[in-house]
Amino acid sequence: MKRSTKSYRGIICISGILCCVATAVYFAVCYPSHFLWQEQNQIFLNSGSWIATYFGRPAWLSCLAGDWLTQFYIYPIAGPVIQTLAIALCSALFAKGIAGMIRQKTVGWALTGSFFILMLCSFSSSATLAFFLSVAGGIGLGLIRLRIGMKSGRKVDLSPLLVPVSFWLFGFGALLTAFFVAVSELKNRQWPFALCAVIFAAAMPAVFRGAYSLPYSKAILYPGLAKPSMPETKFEERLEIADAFYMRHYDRAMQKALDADNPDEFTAFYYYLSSAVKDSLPDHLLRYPVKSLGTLTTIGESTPLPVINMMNDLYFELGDMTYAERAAMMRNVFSPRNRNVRMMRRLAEINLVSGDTLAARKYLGILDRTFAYSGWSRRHQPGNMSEKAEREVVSRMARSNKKDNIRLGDNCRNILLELLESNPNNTIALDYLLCTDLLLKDMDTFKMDYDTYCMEKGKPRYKDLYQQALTIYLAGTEAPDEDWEKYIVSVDIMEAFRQYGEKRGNPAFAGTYWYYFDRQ
Amino acid sequence: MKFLTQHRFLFIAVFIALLGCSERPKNVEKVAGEPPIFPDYAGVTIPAGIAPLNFSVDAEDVERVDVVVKGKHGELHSNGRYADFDIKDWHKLTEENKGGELTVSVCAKIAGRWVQYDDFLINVSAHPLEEWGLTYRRIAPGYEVYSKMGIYQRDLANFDESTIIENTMTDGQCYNCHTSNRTNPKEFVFHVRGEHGATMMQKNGECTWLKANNDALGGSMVYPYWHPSGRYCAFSTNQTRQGFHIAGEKRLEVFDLSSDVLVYDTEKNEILTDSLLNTKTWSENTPVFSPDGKWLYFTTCLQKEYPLQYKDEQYNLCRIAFDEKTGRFGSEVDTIFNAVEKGKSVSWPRPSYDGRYMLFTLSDYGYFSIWHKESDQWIMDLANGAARPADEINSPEADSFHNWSDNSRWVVFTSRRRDGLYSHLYLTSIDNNGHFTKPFLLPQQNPEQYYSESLYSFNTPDFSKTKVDFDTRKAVGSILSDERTPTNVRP
Repeated sequence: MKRSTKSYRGIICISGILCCVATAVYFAVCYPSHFLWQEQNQIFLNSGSWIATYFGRPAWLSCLAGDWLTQFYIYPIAGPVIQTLAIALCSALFAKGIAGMIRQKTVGWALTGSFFILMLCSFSSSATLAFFLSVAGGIGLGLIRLRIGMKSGRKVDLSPLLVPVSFWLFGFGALLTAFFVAVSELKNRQWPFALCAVIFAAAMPAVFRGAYSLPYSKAILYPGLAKPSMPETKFEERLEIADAFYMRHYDRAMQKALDADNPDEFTAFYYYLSSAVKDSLPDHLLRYPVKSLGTLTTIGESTPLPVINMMNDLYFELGDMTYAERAAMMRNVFSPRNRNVRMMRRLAEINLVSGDTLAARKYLGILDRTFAYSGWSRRHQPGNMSEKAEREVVSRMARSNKKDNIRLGDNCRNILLELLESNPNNTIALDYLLCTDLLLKDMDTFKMDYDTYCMEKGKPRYKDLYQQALTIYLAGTEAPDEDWEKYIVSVDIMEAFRQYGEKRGNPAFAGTYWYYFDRQ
Repeated sequence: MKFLTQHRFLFIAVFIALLGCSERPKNVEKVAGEPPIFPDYAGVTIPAGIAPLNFSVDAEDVERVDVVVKGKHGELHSNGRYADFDIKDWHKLTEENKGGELTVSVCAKIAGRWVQYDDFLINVSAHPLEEWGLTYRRIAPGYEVYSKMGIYQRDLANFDESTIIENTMTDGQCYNCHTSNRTNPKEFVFHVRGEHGATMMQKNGECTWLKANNDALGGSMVYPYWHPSGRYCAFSTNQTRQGFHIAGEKRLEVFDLSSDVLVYDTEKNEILTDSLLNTKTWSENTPVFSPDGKWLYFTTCLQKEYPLQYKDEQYNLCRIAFDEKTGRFGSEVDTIFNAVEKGKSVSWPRPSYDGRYMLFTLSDYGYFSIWHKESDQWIMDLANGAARPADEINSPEADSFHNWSDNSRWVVFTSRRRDGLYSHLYLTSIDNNGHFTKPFLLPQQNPEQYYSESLYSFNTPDFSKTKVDFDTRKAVGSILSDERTPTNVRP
């Protein structure tokens, strides 16, 4: 009997380790961007004041430990390992907790089941590490039996008092603590104590909701539940593309966008933005199945988070620091405690480019208190910038707006025109302007913009896409020969246009603007 | 004894740790000049009994500071990573030296070497700051959306802050424009914006939730100011829009497509209007009553086409007579300060409660002065109408909203002088000649960490005689219930 128990435990142990390794490997290989997302969507400052702010909320221990550990997710292996260990800890504690309630042979199944459910929970992009630590802490406290011996030799059971402690340390974990305490008390026929545990769990959020400035429904579930979900592969794919772009790996971002299972506006956006930064937007405009530049997108109160991120990246690359800052501020609003490391960096960059060194120092000062970004902060200090950082700031400065005015909406056409008024050499803005015209098949506006920002500035932009589009305009307006000579410099384009004219709509010309104009 | 023996290593460790925590200066080298401290408290004037002016030495590689504060009566010592004074000792020292000065000696251990700077002075005013604390709104600038924000109150004698109402308690509403009557929170008003919009008026513990919008007025009631009798409250009603600057130093511009001034009669639940306060060609804004209640001050601007003429949105300071018995307004409007003539714009007039001065903000244009770096505090002597910039408290960054203490000796105002982007609270006192003392940043336990890490702006600060007695839980229920009292416009 003993031997069979031992071997059963051994099997569970080995299976558990294998399961953990497999989970960590799965996370590391298939889910790395989710972990980076967690890290990028928060900030942890190494300062007493910052840590002290955790004490003003329930679940301070799980939130503090969770946020502290999450900052290490910047390292690719850290997230998968920490997350797996957290799930394993929760499952092991759960299995231990219910071991006395169920048949021993089913403990293994309970362990497997809880591990599986928690793994499903971890797939959700909104699942924070604090959730798992609250689960572990709540169960862990629920397994403690707090009995104090009196002089009379009688023992007083104080276990229900662990429930308020659990609420303080682990938030909703108090519900789990109450459950295990209550079950234990009921087993000992101490139903008043069991009742106490349940009452404490229900009453604590009600009593302290005022102090924590939370409604009851939020206080009782603080720091928030993670719902089981299937792997968010689409979101992971999007994050990978956006991260590659953010890290200036433009070729990788474009390749990832091309490899996307179901190309959509998001993948298209980063495909085009990456190509624009590489000065090749017109070369790639017709190569992607989805045509969305983001120039017709507006942001407001109900804009989804990914779109705010996209707009932040778009305006930052275009050189519009006003709207890049606006999007960054809005992005912060949707982060825990109104800030995250990515937007802190972005706000520092924006203010360096716009020359507001006081504000830039503010954000750099915050980053200086982080574990992973203090070096970056030091390399970007105004007056003490690294050569690389300075080069980038100067190049962005050249693209940014110089002439002030008041802007009411986010009509991207106006924004692009303002940028080009400030700097006609801003080819990213120019390509976005011309390509937007072309996607809208607004040939009159395209010709007007091309004339204004290319021909009249003495800088015609000889890209095949524009040449093809110009042939359509010139043919459509029956332009005189001198106009053809003025605009169309490529003999090949002229020849191809002649051939296309003979076979209009022929798929052999797919990928040309003529074909797009006629057929798409 | 057995316990001591058993735990001797623990005691030794604690003893060593304590020794390490109170390392005294030795081989001190004198350096010329005042210490580079944050916040800059050198030469400021403070009220006795205020929270300790903790500070840190703002230099590279500071390992430790040792600070001695000496008064004619008594002294205080702090040794640590930053100057962190004991609250009780600080209160005792400031009370005992009321009307005198405190000499602050700062030593700092920088890169292993102790240095001593020149001493600096802190003046303790003979005039008390009788208010219990401050109320303010704290919000992270999000332009169109906001995250956690609310109205808070702060005990000025220590660092305790508590929530009056916060949007985490409801569905993410915006709360703004909280105002008490002459710093007395028994009469208290604030607005709720968003889905469950309302204007909350609390008088002697009774809350009334007014309907946020009144169709007859064409907008909601904003920028409140109480009549000294407590019966009336002046508001403006504004059709506000915002735009973004696309380059340059400014970020945001706020302008009104129209605005009018009105007075709400709390006894009759009536809105009192007048054709002189409700004109089509002029925008009337930011009303305040004179301390005797006989005048209603407000700002007024010739309506222009916005955003095209946004730089022409310039307000003068005017006033009109008000009869509290009848609730009637005078028949003419006087211009008290012609800012337009100077190419400037007035906002946020606030008369001192003793009736001597009018404090207002002056900027190049507009009235959302917190977004204008050039905005400054101006003070007007109401006896002779002479106005001057309060240069002694102004900074190159935005210096904006302000309020007086009940004894008209202290002023709290917002300024963005620290980082140009987030507004913080500064306090200053005024002497018998109408001159302000050097302002000081609202003390915090660890000011350097607090202000460096904060991404929140402090708005619309006001003194509060006592802690605001507000039943938050009940208020949350009222906000979510949407039960509102409609207001009537007096025929």
